[in-house]
Amino acid sequence: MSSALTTRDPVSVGRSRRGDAIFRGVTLAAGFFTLAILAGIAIFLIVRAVPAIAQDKGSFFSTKTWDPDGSKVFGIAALGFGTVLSSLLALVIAVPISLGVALFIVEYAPRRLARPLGYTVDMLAAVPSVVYGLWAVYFLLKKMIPLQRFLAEQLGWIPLFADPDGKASRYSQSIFAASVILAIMIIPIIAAVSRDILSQADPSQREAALALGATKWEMIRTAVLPPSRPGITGAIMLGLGRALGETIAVALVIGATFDVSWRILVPGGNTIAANIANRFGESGSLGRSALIASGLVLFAITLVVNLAARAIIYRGGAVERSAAV
Amino acid sequence: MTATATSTAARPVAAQLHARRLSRPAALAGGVAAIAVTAGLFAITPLAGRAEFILVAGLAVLTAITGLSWRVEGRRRAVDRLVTTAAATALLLALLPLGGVLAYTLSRGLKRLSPGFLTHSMAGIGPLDGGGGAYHAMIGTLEQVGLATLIAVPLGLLVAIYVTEYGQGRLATTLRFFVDVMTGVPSIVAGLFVFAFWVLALHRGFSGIAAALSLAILMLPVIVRTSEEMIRLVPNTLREASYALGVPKWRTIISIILPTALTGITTGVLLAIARVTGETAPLLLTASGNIFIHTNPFSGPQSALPLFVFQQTQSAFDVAIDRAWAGALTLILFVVVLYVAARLLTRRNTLARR
Amino acid sequence: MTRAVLACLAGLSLAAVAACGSDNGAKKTTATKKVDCAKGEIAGAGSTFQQNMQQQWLTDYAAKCAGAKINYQGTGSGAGIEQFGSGTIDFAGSDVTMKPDEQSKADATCGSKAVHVPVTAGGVAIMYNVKGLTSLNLSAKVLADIFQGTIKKWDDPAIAADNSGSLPSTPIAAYHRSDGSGTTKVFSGFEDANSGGAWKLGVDKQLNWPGGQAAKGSDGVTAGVKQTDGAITYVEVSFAKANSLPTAKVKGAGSDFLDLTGETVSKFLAASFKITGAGNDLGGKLDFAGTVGYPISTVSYVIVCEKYKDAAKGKLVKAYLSYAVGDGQSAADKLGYARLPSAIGDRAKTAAKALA
Repeated sequence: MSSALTTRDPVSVGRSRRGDAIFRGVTLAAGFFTLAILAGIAIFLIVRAVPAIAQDKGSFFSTKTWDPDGSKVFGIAALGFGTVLSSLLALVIAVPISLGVALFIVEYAPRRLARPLGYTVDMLAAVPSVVYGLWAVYFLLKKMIPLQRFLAEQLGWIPLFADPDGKASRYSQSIFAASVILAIMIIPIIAAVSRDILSQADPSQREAALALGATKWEMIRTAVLPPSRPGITGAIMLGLGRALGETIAVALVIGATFDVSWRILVPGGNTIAANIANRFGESGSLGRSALIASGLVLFAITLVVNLAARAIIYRGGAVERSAAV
Repeated sequence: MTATATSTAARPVAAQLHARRLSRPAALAGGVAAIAVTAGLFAITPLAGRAEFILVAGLAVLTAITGLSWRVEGRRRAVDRLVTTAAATALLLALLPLGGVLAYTLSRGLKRLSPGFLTHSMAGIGPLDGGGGAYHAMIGTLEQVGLATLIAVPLGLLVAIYVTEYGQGRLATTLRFFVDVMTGVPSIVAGLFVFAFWVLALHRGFSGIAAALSLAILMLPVIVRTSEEMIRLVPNTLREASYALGVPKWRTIISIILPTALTGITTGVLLAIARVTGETAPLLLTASGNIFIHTNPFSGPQSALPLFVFQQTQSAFDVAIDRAWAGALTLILFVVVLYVAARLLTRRNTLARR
Repeated sequence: MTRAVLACLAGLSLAAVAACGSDNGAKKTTATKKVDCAKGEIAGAGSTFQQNMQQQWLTDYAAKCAGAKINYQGTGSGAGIEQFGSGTIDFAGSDVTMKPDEQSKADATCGSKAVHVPVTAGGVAIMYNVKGLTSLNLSAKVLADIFQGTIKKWDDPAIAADNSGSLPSTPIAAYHRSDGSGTTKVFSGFEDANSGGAWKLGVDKQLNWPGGQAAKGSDGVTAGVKQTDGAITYVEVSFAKANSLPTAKVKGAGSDFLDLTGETVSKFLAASFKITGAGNDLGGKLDFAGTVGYPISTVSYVIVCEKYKDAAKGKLVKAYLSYAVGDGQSAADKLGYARLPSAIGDRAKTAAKALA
């Protein structure tokens, strides 16, 4: 059921059997080798992480501080929270925009404009993260202060946007800043994949909907979106995976505090990947192992994300994955 | 702004003939009025600031046009208009920061980007000296990404062939699942793995090949997935015709299926290359960096463009910051060239298009 | 040779450049002074604090000694020690001495004792950006309150007490490092010893800051301060100089308000740095409570093997290190570092000569 196009061997000619067996063996070996690499990564992370966690004087999963080289008290609570919160917020910002972009390119843009727009979006998916990070430090962070002030002043009554000390209107190195830069980075990914998926919707269904007098939006809602839903969910999960693991750009813009706070505008916040980048250079031996332990948690989080993505994509057998990422 | 941009050709003829439509001047007037109201609001209330104005004005225009359309054309058309405007706004919102990144990098990078920059290394450049360039980093990136491609492409292709042509049942499904999981391995984790396994445990030290290995880990799943997709698009009739002529399966794959899917696979490979070319985090742990031109990728630390950019920004001195932006621009140009190449190939690929 | 040609061709195809790449980026005139030369290739990594200094030395050394290829990467002291211990580099730069387990690992890799040699010194500047303020006096106690968030405005009476002239009422934006850094350790060491108990954050490369704003790297905090009126940070002095931002005069518990200069830093270290290592190991301890000179100062070491397994490498390390602690010290002034005080410098020269 996994590969619908696989063809059974036709009437086999004796001498071709050997060649086939060898070739099949080689491809199978490549498959096992790939699995071995992944297993190797997992084993390496576990081997380095477990002794570090054993030396932890705090509780690895509930401690918020990160001080493996000094007091040996460190835990993943604040880092894990920040990682998940910043990535989810990035999705909240990026998903509507990416879907809008994909819809516009596939459904609304004139054909002559659609293709270059599509290329542009694809290309932007590969702008190096260090460039995004630099741009944020030298340009974006400063420009975000008015926006932060606006949000804090107008929406401050929502706990998420609360800013009790007025810091958000002067500083911008916050979870919100990290989410915005992450969103900018994952928009092209989600948009590119969604575009491919939307364009694969059955044309006869579209025509039927239009023929029945539906407006364009009604046609999209009834004929394009339902079959694309699993594929778009997969695209979103891909974006989430990238956001969770992003290192340099986040390290450059986040406040790097170790607390669990929902106040996204207040300077601070941290993520697992950014913390590795921030701490690796000056860490001692336990510090490095502790960072690898946090890497294991990140690996586990991304594994769960992929599991969820798979579950959604393959539900109902609709395999509409894209080649764009 | 795009109130009447919706193509009329797509609308049912009956609706075009009978329904009342919101005229372009009316929509325009509504938009202008909304902006005027916003301006008034900003004048008399404590609201202030350019970003805020754009935000509020945008919302006001959206509301005004949707409201007008609702009155004139009815609910269904109003919703349609709202979605159209929202999609166009989304595109603008997405292109604004992305265009900003490119424009900013261009404006700062062009200052230092010159033939001299592209042909010299950082050897003999003191911290206050303005000269130097990224040639050594370009060589490093080319060799590292090239080696990573040499490793990841054959391996990925073989896996894709197994999954699409040979694999059946549980093993193929498991393989595909784990290839997808591999897509989510954070780049720094790949770097840590190669650092511990290759650099330390096998005593190989820092080298271009170590960097290539970490990049190959990141490329592999992308290549498997794209190749799988392209092989799947090869029409079954081609396979059957080949079998009917008595050609064994493995020869069919090598001489019929792969050549047919080749342009598509090439596109996927180029996309994967572009994706890893900008990776910084794993290179810090594997290639380490070098100021000299180091052409041997198999031993000794080597530089790379992303590393070069990252390290130059850490300096206090403007000469280094300028070099960093020129390096960033070089990196982006490199990626752009790859993308254009990939797209030119896709254009000829009739299979991948519908 | 073929490989070099291939690389050139690759470079050509990438950028359509007509000439092949060259390591000769700056045409240096060879210096007149005689330097002890050795040939070969060595690599070092570690402390970002001494990176500029290393870059200057290896550039100057290579200009004087053809055939010497020395490479230094600022990866951080911890990473440098780790890499040295695992034998992937030939010398490490570090702002701290090795811990016992790191020392034994390094000794085992060297096959001889791994020793610390001080190579350069530098001060941590208190850099600020406040409109209308060009000179500022800050005591350790006031700094502690500023960075811990208890003093919130520039016209606070505590600041006014040490400064004549009017102060603006701008809110204070205190920037600290978000990454682990030797600079943070030096600053917190100074505060811990001089603030009379006002400093509550301990001494480490990273601290649990109660507030303020963080940025990654010296470049990050500098960019932050530059963009924010009312901002202040602690940073390597070269960043203040390169960005033309003013620095404050600082006062420890027992000293006067002093500017950060090469001399005041050297003076402090001459009085307060005590070598505790044995033989050629010049690892030492800094007493931040010292009352002479600019008190937020530190030395930075190079970690080397006393005797290298590869004699040719040993020869080059010896020659390079001898240059660095000898003639190389004169490069300190223009880069914002301080020369080693003569007592420490003499012992460093002796230690460098003893290498093999």
